Amino acid sequence: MNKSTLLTLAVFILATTAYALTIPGLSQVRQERRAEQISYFVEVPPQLAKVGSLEFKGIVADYLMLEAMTFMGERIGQNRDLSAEEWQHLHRLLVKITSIDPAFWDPYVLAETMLVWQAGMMDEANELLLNAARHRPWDYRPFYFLGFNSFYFKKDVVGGAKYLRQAARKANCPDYLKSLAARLSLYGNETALGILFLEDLIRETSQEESRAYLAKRLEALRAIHILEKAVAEYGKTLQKKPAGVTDLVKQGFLEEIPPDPYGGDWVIMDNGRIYTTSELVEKKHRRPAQKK
Amino acid sequence: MNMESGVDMVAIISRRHLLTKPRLLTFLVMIQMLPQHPLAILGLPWAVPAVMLVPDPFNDQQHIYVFHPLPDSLGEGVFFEADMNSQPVISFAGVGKAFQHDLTRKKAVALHNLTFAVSAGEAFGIIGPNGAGKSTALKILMGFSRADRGVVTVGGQGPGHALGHQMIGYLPENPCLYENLTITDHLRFAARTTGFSGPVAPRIKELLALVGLSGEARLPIRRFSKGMTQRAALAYALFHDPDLLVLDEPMSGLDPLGRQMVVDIIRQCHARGKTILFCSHILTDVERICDRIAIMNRGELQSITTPKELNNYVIAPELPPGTTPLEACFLEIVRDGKPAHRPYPAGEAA
Amino acid sequence: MKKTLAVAIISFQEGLRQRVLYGILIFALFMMSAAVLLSGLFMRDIAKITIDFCLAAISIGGLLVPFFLAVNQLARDIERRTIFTLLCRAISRRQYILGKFSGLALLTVTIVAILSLSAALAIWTSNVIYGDYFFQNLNIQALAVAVGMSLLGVLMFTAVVVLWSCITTSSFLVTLLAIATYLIGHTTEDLVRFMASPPPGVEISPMVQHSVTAALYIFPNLAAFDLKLAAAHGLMISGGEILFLLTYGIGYTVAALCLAIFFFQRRDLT
Repeated sequence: MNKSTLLTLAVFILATTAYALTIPGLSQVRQERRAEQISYFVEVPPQLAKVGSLEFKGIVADYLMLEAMTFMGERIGQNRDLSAEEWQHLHRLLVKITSIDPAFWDPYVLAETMLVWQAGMMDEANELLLNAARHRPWDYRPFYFLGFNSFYFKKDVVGGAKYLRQAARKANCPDYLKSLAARLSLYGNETALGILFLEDLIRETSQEESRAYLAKRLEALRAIHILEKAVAEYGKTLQKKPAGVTDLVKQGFLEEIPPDPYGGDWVIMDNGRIYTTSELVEKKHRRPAQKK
Repeated sequence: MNMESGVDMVAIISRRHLLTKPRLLTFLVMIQMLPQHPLAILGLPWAVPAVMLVPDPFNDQQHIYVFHPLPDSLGEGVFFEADMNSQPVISFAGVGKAFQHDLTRKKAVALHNLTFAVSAGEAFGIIGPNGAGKSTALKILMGFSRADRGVVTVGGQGPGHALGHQMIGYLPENPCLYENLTITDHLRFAARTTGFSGPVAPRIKELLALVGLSGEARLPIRRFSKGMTQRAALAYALFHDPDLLVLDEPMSGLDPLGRQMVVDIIRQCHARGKTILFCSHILTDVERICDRIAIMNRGELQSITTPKELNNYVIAPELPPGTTPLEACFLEIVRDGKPAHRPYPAGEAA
Repeated sequence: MKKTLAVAIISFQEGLRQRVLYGILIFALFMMSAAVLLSGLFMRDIAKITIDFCLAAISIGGLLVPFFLAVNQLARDIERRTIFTLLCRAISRRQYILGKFSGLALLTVTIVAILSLSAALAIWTSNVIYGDYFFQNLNIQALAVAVGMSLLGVLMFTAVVVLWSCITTSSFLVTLLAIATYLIGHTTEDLVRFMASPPPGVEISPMVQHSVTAALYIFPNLAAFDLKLAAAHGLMISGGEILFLLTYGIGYTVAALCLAIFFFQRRDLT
């Protein structure tokens, strides 16, 4: 090897080391900056984003969706609550995605599972879902989600039933949903509907982490359902309200108290419903219950 | 100038001249109309350039008149002589061409009143310094570029005519073949487009042997040296055995061996009666091949001479010893704009 | 006709020898794996994501032809004077333009065919990995129509680039014009729609309105040939729309080529 080659090699090694060393730091810096803002695209007006995507609307929407999911995933991974501003960001991003590709189903699901359940932004989510219903005329799920929101969160039985009837009219509506109205009156409360809803969501979710996320919530709802049934039975048999969930075990209505996967404590409310101090939300400083 | 028997004359006349000089208003104008010109088809004879041959009643000469519809565009008079034993294959009459800069609209004259004719079987060379307008003239002849004024005919037709091209083998200046294709691909394309009948593969083999590229038949052109490309392009030009060879700097970029090969090929073609028009600035090669030599400078034809005439050329004493007569003539024209010495010994003139 | 075909063949060969197809094959492989792997990151619309990637890749592959090969084969052909090699044979300028366009069209069809095959493979793989549940809306017919229309759109765009190559003198300018045409072609329709019903408080001057309408008539409406989103959601367009698109696309292509021939016949090649 002659001198010139050696020199070139030396410079090459030096330069490579230099850039390789900066990679973790650069990622760190960019990570911090990204944490401040969900996406640069948020600031672009939806119409402009749509026109600017040219003929690549599909993959642009996919990319933005991936960004939204990464954002949520990071927050969930860090057990961090989103600030009101961050929720607004997420909502705006979802609006953007759905204006680029209005028939894309994933952003609507994210709106339903996150905006409604976590942030209580039901009106915003409903607006998105109505948009979904317009652009996915073959699909029962937008109306199904709308119906669920009415029943479960608004306690609006009439409105919910109207949406569910619309959902039942779609060709791809599963049979169990068609008889849901009847089953609703049978179970008589929203917890059962929530369980059905989550089961349905999990069935059509492919991604492992999302499934785990939903499964945890499903487990909590099942626990509540068991507890509520026991409370109702307790009341029917002993003609009085149990003072706490431990009464249910003492009196032999339950073998054991099912745990709250979110780590909260069960409270029996005046109307016989069960409340949990975790509010079914991962708290920043609370160790998440191990779920597998 | 050399006035042997059977010499032909060409006059360029404009429409205005025709109108003011009714004796020239002959029906022959109509008869000799360029048949393929679109305006002729539309029945507008007066708008069409025409070439006519008029026998001179007083001797056995013929005059070629080129009629051009543009008034005042052209000069008048005798411009060149040609061997009248055969029809001119190529004629340039009063051809002018200027290039305009895209932005500044500044005009640069490339050709001015270029007039000459090449008869069948002749080897005609054009020499001149770079930028003399040689290539431009050949491009106008091939129909790539359009003359602003004047008339060009090839085989009795306007330039750029597909049927005219059937008889031409053209070698462009700095030949650019398709880099990624092989010479065989090019020759196959030539076979498809020239109506070549007969087996293609033996013809390709024959040509490759002729230009000494038999071993490179499957190599893409980008691997070729400049000389090899030049020879490949020559094979491409020769594929359909054309009657007329138009060669733009055929010897440039070749080593002495390749040069000898190309000169031999051109000479062979000439010996078989092909017409050859080529331009070059390698004077010795021009001398070796040509029957007649035209010297151009700054877009104008300065002189047409023959090797025979050059033998008698008086070389100026200030030129270094060993200068050939053609070199001397060329240098004087290029330096002074016209020959300082008449290319004939004083005793033989006129 | 025979000569046009000869030009088409030599252009096609030249395109092939530029190793375009190797690049396309590598690109196809990359696209396939990206489509299959990335769609797994999503929760529900897995078929849609896979198809999005595949169709976008087909479009990009097709667009290589007008953006790179057409510029290379026409503008640079003239710039580098390789065109003389063709024109000095008994080939008219019309035959040259038609032959070049046919050669480019042949290249486009080849590229789109290769990418479509690999897309089919990618969709099938994705289906096998993630299961039938996510591929209920798969509509092969809609996909075929989307690919066909994408091809027609690219051919139309190629014809416009051929026209630009015949008018301007530098390949760089042709590339710029091609990009401008592409952007205009994909946005005018949206602009027209926006102006038809402007949001309250927005005043649109008649001048702007007229020029946008003029652009809609002059430039190719490439957006209309983008049926990727609909196809990804398994939606089929109506027969009437297909008929409109075919008429528009073929009409525009032929008109652009006629104009290209008109200008090219009058052009000085130096």
